[in-house]
Amino acid sequence: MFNNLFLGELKKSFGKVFHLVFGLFFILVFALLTFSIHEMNEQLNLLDIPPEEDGETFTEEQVDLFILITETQIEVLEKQKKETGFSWYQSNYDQIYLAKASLKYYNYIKDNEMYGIPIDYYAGMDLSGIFMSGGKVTADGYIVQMLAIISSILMIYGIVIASGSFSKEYREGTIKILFLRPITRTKLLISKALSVLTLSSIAYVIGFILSVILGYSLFPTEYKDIIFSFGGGAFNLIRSDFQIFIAFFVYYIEMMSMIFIGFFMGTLLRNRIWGIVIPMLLSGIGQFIIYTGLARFFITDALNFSQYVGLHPVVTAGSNIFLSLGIYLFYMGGMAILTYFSVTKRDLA
Amino acid sequence: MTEVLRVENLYKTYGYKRGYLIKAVDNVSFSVNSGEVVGFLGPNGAGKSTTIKMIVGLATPESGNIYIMGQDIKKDRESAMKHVGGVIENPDLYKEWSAYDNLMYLKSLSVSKEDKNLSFKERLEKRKAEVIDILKVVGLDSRMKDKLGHYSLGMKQRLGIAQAIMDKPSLLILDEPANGLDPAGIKEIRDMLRRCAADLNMGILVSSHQLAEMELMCDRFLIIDKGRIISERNTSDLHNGIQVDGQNRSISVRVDRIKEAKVFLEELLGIEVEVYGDTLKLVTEKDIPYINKQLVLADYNVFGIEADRASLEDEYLKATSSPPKKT
Repeated sequence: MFNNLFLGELKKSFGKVFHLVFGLFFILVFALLTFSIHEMNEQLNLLDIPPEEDGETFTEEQVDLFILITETQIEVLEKQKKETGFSWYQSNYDQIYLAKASLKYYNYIKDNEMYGIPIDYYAGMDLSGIFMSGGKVTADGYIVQMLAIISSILMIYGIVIASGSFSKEYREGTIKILFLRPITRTKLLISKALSVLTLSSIAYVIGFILSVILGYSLFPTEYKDIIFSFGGGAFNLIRSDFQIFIAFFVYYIEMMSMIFIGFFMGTLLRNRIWGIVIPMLLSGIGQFIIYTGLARFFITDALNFSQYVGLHPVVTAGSNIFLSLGIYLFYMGGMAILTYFSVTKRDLA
Repeated sequence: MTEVLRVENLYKTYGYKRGYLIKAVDNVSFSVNSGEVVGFLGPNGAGKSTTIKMIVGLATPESGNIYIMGQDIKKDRESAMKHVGGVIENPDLYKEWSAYDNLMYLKSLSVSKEDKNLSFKERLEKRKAEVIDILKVVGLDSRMKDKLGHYSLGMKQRLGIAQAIMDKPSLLILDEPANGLDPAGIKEIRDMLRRCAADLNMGILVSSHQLAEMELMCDRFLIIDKGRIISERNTSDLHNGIQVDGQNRSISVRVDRIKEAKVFLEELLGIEVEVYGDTLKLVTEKDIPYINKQLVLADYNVFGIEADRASLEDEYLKATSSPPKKT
């Protein structure tokens, strides 16, 4: 019976015109971007630019010096912070966090005695450095860029579907027929959430597969070893194309979180428009307060996990991975609980 | 006769307005038996819809109990709902789907115990056959592949009833089932509901403002006003004549020599008799055959003699003291 409920929810999501228009838009964006990036590479080929040298090389003395400088920098910054206290209006990047991450990076080189070896670093989701070779976009670079764009487009698609999942049933009165069937409201809620998850995931995976096929057939492949960090804490030496998978999950979580904010809001307020507007509004507010101390407590900043997967993290001031995780769980969990009670306990007007 | 629905001391408020507590439903109790059609009447805002919503779990009572086939809906709503079919307020279904797709989907959400042993294919075939059968019953089989967006209100009403009865529930709850139907459609729905009660032994609770139609359709009436049940009558009681008090009923007599007959009956029965044109009106505990016999023995020609029947409208207006508002 749950299968039927789930399949029914999938069927309901398929408004033919909407999917046709959206599918065409998606293909158009995909084709135009691929064409323009490919064309840019072709133009650069004509210029015959010599390939860039791979990464940076360090001597033992250099590394020791950098460690000393960075340790001093941290001391100064922490002293400054103690004296001035927390500022509500400041740079959006946490200077202390950044310095600590750099220190760990140099210590990693020292511990592994990686002297005289060209080392690349991966700077968050800043793709311009690592994924371009000789100024040209590589297959990895193309795929990660496409993932960023696909996730943004599908976020809108998912929010439109998710926000209407319950609210449309409330507006059109079909919810009464469903509530009269011998199914629990919890099962209905789960099946709706799963159908939103499934549809958005399928679309994202299709986009990913397409970009992988196009990336590896149209763009040059060049692998480098890069130092990767997670949350400014764990460091590892990985091959550059591994970043594709990191990007896949980071963008997926970000996209799905925004879609579910749309789902929760549309359901809670029983209104599709609010379900669409609120995630957009949150993004806007997130951008607006990024230079204030409030940003770290805000959901859009917390779900931006890309800030924690690079050597040079652009972590929001005063934040860290645990705070972001906590804030993320607080907001998403809170909305999920409220939505659950709204669906299962609230009266139908 | 099984009790399919029992409502006990249902109570719900809608908060305070200008310092007064708004009681939507105030201590409402009643029951519906199998094979019985019960009319649920009342002015707009009387508490009908709120009561119905509480019965089907769309609203939560502040206190009181609801039992469907003996199952407390607070404890096991899912099991209780297996016995319920209904159309609440409007027959809202998925308008972008066809009637067939709508019923196939809704039917798939309630798999009976026997069906669980069938294979997926067998279950699907059985579901298809049942859906087509029910569409035939409501006369929509020829348009079953049309999207609901192209349906008239009457067709939507019939489809709403089809989805409500397709699982042969023990309790059927319908809110304004005849809304938007033409006279032939109204008769069809009435006949269908009577058949559901008689043949399938369903207990049916119907809410409507169409009093004449309800009088033809229902076995019993509940009239609710300001959140309270203010009258409960059997249709047969209405048809047996106006009960003026516990024993006396109102009788009309058409007879010749009307002035003499008036005096004769006043002396015979010891009551006051009134003259309305060619008809005498009297209120007595004596039955019609007795009065008829006495008049004939006294050599009066009796053209007609009958108990005055109360209409549901009379009963409703008497109970609510205001005409029902049209919806």
